[in-house]
Order: sequence, then structure tokens, then C-alpha cells
Amino acid sequence: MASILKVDDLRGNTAAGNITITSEGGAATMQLQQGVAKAWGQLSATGTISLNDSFNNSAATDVGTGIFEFNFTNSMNNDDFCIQANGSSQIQITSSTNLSTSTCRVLNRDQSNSAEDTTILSNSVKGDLA
Amino acid sequence: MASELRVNTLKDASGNNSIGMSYVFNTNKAWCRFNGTGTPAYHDSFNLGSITDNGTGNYNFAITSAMLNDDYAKVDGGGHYDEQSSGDTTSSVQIKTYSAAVALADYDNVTFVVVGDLA
Repeated sequence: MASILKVDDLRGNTAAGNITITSEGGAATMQLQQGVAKAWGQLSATGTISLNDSFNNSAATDVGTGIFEFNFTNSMNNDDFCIQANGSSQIQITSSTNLSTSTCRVLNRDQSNSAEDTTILSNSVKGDLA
Repeated sequence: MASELRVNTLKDASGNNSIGMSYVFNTNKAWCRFNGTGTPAYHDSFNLGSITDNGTGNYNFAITSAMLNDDYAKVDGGGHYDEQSSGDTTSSVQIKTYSAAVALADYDNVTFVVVGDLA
């Protein structure tokens, strides 16, 4: 019989930040929190930029041509998080000097490796929340 | 004491915002940001173990808790890399990083995620 759980807040029993789920094949378990994206967003990244939709991104800033900075609503635990980003061209994640627990910065570059604005830029962040 | 809850669907306490458990299970099964220059090393990672340096811009990453099959999705961070590699197995994923001139090259701040079924 199908079951539905109505709840606002999920926490681990032994440790609040550790909920275990069983693998699809049934042979392993993994920590749910580690697998969940901590932030994502789709940005209209030409002219006056705007977030079309997002999660845990409070704002996006047009730093310069092809350079965009995302601000997290809830901060990350450190600046070692993992980012995927895609635009119309090559994407580079800037060096750790431009990553912080509250922001991440991505660069969109054309095939000549020059900074370029893009119609749509998407990003996704994995890692540890504070 | 450890507890176990078996459920098909999650909703908020008002009965809204329903999400099936299949969406919960389809989380990222492995991810990392690593430095591929010098001796390869993680900035941070999940469900990934030792890194094998196969040469310039060519790495294998051990998957700690293995995947069910090799049909998983491997998504890179854009930019310098990657190619869908024949070197991916249930316990290892291969990443190659290229320069703009399409030559293998080492970089820092390389990221990828693995999405699929765990064994």
C-alpha cells in the first residue's frame, strides 16, 4: 500500500544532519544530505541580468562581461564545494579566491577564450551547507 | 536507537508540495572539485576515493560505493573538459581535461557529478 508522510522538517535520529537512504540496488546506503544540490539557478545573462528560477540563490550580480556571481541564501560550510555551470560557450569556475561560503563566480568564455555574455546561464552547487 | 521509515511520498505538514521518493533517491551519487595540477587532490568530494593520474589531463577516480551499472550520467563543470569516456565502470570514472586547443592539459577547480543508480 502506498504511504504518504506529511512533515515540514526531516532530521536524522542519531545525528540531525545525517539521514541514510538505501541504494536502488539495495546493496549500499548513502547519506541523503550529501547527494542533494545545495543551490541552483537559471540566469538571463544578457543586458540587465535576472534569475529566472533558483534555489538558495538570493541574488546574481553582473560583475563584468561574461562574469556572474551568485549569492547563497544559506551559506556553505567551506569554499571547497563543487559547481557545474553551463552557458552558450565555455564555462570556467573562477579560482578559489573568487569562491566563498556565501558566493560563487562563473565565467562564460567564447571559443577564443574571451569573456562573453550568454542568453542563459545555469549553475548547480554540491557540497556541505553550514 | 536507529530508526527506519518506509514511505512512498513526502509532503509538507499542510499536505502540499508533494515529492515522490523516486525524486529523493535520484540525488547525486558522487561529486567533487579537484586540483589536477601536480599530484591530483580533492578540494572536496563525496563517494569518491583514490585518484589515479594517467598522464596529463587524464584521471581515474575510484567510486567508493559502487554504481549498479555503467549507464550512469557523468556531468562535468563545463570549460576545459570532458569527453564521455569508455573508461567508466561501476567502480571508477574517468575524466579528461582539454585546453582550448583540444590538447590534454592539467587544471585546478575541475568538477563533475555522477547521477544514476547505486549498487
